[in-house]
Amino acid sequence: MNALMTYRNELKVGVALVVAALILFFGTRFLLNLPLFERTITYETLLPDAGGLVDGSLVRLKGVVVGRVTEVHYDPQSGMARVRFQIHGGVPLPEGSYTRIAGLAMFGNVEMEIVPGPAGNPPLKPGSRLPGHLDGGLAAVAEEVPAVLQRLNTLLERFDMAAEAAATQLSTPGSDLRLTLQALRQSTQTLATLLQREQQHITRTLENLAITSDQLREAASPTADSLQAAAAQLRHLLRRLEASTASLEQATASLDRILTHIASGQGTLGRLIYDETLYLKLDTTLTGLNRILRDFEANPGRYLRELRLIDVF
Amino acid sequence: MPKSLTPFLQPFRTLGQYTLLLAHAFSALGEFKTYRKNLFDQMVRIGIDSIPIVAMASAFSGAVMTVQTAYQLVSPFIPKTVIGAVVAPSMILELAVVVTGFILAGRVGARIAAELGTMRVTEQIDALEAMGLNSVSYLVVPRVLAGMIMVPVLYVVACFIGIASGILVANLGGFLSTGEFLQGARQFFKPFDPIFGVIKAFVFGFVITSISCYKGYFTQGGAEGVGRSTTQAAVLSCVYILVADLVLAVLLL
Repeated sequence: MNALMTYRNELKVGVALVVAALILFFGTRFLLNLPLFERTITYETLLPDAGGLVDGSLVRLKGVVVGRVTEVHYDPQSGMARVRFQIHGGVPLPEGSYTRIAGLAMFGNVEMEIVPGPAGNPPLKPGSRLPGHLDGGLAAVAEEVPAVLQRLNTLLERFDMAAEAAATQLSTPGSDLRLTLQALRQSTQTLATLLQREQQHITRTLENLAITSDQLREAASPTADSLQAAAAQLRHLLRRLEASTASLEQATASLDRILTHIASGQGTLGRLIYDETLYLKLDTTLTGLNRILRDFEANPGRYLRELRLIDVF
Repeated sequence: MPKSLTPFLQPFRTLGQYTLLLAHAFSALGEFKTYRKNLFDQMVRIGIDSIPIVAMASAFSGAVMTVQTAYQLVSPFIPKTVIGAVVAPSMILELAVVVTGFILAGRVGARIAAELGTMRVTEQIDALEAMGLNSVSYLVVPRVLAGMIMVPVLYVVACFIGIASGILVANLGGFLSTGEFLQGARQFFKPFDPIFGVIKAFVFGFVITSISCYKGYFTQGGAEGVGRSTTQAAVLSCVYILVADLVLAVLLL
């Protein structure tokens, strides 16, 4: 305790220095988006064009910040930009991964993007060198710029020619466009003169039309209820007619079905019409019956004698 | 030497006197036993005792910076994260260290000049020399070393408090969330930024303590001279902090 009191100032200073060093170390890692306690893995890549990448630029994988660029310099041997970067230890990069530049240097947010290789590939060893590509991003845009500018130039030249042609047409006294415009102007002037001259007449006509409309509205209002009732009756009648039509259609369909049966020789009537045998039998029966009836009329006693009922009377 | 040349030669005389004092001080660095106890005492006075005022000043700096940046960036085309991207680097690169420097120039610089000035005019320094003690080693070296070591510590504290208060005010004021603030702060953060801040704090610590020691050590004219030395120490420290700030920015950024 006495020793603590003796070295009280040294203790205070020591604690302050350690705390400041810890804040500086972990604060820097925190702002660098590096894990505070987890280890980081350093990789290297060679890029044909660093595109404004600087020490501290973000490193993204699938859009997620996974690390930081720690060093960017020109490599005279390869003639390319050599970039070292750190990523979180928990993010393994499979073989076949490559890097490319993303973002816009003019806005100061150039970043490095890692495109991971196939998922089944073994992970890259720490310190490995990833190939750098120029696809996408600013490089592709820069390559397209001349073509776009050429197209824009052609478009502007055509527009210029069209404008010149229009100017020529308008400046030539006998050109169709100029004559058309003159005729249109004359027509407009004539129409304006006519309207001005007939203005009073038109006003009167419109006033008369308004009065007529009012009168028609007044005349129609008392009979409105009767018309409404007649319309309702007519609607009811139409509904009944519609129902009757449906019944008629149904009856017609049934008759058609019966006639079809008859036509195909089915049923009694059909057989009577189409089966000659039945007809002949019926005719024979009727002939026999006629003969019996004639005999009955001629000799009733022959038939009545056999009936017991007659005996009772 | 003509008397009319004296005003023109005075700056060179002052610069030479200052350089010789520092040379004497650094030559006495090896006499650690002489100033060891005094060094830790000065580190506590300059560093530990200044933490509350530095923390308060940096907290207000970060908060005001956040509010004013949010007030200025009202365009819908500017994302909110820009507030974090402005406040955090501003605190790390400039505000934290300069505010700390100005506060220490007033608090520590004036105290050092007043202490040494009083010792000079009361002939205590002469008494130390008469006893065979190296007065520069005993009085100047521990103060300058304590300033160079403890101002970076105060800078780190100021950064932490300033950014934290910025985040707090951004949240409470409804300007942006903590996530948005940190996203912006991280977007343009460079690892060299805090290192640059520490280097500046180290230099500012040297500027404040060495100028104050020089002004106090060479005080003349009794109590009035002490007052003049104290004022000059505070003012010159502030001025040379700004000069050093510019020089370091030009050289290192």
